Amino acid sequence: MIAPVTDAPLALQVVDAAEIIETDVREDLRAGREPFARIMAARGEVPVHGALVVRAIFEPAPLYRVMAKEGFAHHTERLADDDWRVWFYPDVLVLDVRDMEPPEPLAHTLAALETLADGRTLVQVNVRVPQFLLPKLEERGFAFEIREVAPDRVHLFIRRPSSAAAAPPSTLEKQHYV
Amino acid sequence: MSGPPLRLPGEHFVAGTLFLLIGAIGVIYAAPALAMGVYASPVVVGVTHLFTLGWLTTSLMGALYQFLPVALGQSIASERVAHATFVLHVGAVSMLVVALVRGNGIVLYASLLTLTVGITCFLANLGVTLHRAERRDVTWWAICCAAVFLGATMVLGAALGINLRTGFLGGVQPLALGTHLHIALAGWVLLVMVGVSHRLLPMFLLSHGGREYFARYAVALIASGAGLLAVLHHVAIIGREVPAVLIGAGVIAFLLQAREFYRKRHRRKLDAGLRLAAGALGLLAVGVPLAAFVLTNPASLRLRTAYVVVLVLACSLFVAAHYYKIVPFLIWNRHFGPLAGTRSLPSVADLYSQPMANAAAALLMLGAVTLIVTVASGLEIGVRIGGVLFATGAAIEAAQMTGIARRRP
Repeated sequence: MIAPVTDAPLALQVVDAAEIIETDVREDLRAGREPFARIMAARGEVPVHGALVVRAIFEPAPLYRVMAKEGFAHHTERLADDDWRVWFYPDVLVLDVRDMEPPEPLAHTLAALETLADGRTLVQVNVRVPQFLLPKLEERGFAFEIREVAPDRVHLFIRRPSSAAAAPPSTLEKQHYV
Repeated sequence: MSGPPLRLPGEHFVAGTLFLLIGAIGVIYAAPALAMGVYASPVVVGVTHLFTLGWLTTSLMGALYQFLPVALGQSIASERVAHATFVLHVGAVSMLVVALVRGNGIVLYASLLTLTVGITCFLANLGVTLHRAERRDVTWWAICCAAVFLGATMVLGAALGINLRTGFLGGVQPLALGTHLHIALAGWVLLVMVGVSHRLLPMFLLSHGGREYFARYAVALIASGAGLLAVLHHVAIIGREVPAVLIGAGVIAFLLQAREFYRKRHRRKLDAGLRLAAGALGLLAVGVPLAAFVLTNPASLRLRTAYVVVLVLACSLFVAAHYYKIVPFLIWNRHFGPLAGTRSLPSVADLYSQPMANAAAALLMLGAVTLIVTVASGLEIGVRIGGVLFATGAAIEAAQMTGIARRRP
């Protein structure tokens, strides 16, 4: 299992290590084989909030635009001259509220959600499950998913449903991973 | 799960604050008895109960109603029972204080009966809630043990109350009184403080990543000590000195936990509430060596009285400090929270004047220190001055809480 480096963008840090799919195409490239199909196959295995890691012998710049169309941002690491590691992760808005005193996390999160586009996701990084925020999210029709990734780290994925596909709150995705 | 109900903790905080104000004024009235160290005098006992049952217990009940859904993911089992408990408790405490001060037997028995019914209802309601909670962490254990000791305190208190009219306890009355006092303050109040502050202090100090095992030791040690004291207080050493050592060690563990939270805080500047909480913890630290001294030396009545004043005021100030965090949060969440994200809103700190809060905290702390020193030295005028300072601080805090409660967008 591979985990994002600590200086990675926040949106990558909130990806669960268990939901990262890694594909190494260095040997394909060295052998002159086209790796695109293999990369796309791996991309198909990435869970909703997961990430894809591609290892290549050069910076796979053309892949950035392809993956951007799929809603992925990227973070590139040059490990050696012929060893590149590129992280493709969901292009979500991340709000780190760990250094805010209650109820500032609630106020800042609701303010950020007001400008969140349909279908987009905001991830709140907190040290605890924000119990007072959850009913307000339900009232406003947001879908959310709580992931307690460490004793003092909680990732709350909040998604504004697409207008066309908006569902009543009772049927929204609501899972609690402990 | 819904957010915290405002009315239930709110009514407790209003009544608790009134008890604090009356208790603070009562200290001035009780100055002669306090200066002489006559801690068993009716007026001192009455004032003490205004602080312990009135201010502390009423506040802790209200705080638990607000805190349980957040800490344990479980709202109080029955809000209706909680409201009924509130009415019974406040009525009983008011009657008890009048009966203790005026020596009225019928009112005393009526208050004891009402108090017993009220606390029993509270414990039953809390017990069901704790049973339903899935998370069994240090906070759960602290509150669970505290509930047991509140029951023990009630039984001992009822016996002491009946003894006032019948004298059936005879020569063991001082032992029963000491046991009642320590189980109430260590077993009930301190354990709730440990459990609740284990969540609230890091939340308000923005302290994460510190060692948290001290709180577990604190709960285990205090609960063991209070348990031994409750069951074996009639036995020398194992029933008295050993519990004293265990409770003392538990207090030290709690202080170490709080120190860890303060040291690891991300927000360097402390507001009035958190400074007052630190001051209260400092007073509690003074109580440990003082307890050892009182236990091992044939101390004077004044020193014993000063020791009790230290314990009661340390707990009282810690709770008063948390009012500055809990009450503004409740009001903000109720009246401003629904508007969050739709318009610019004041922060919690904007709901009250910081300079006035600093003044209240300083007066409360100065009053408490003056009271402790002058009670120990037997200086009546000093006790009165300490009482005035403390009462002024309490009045400013009460006025600020009233102002906060009236704030609207």
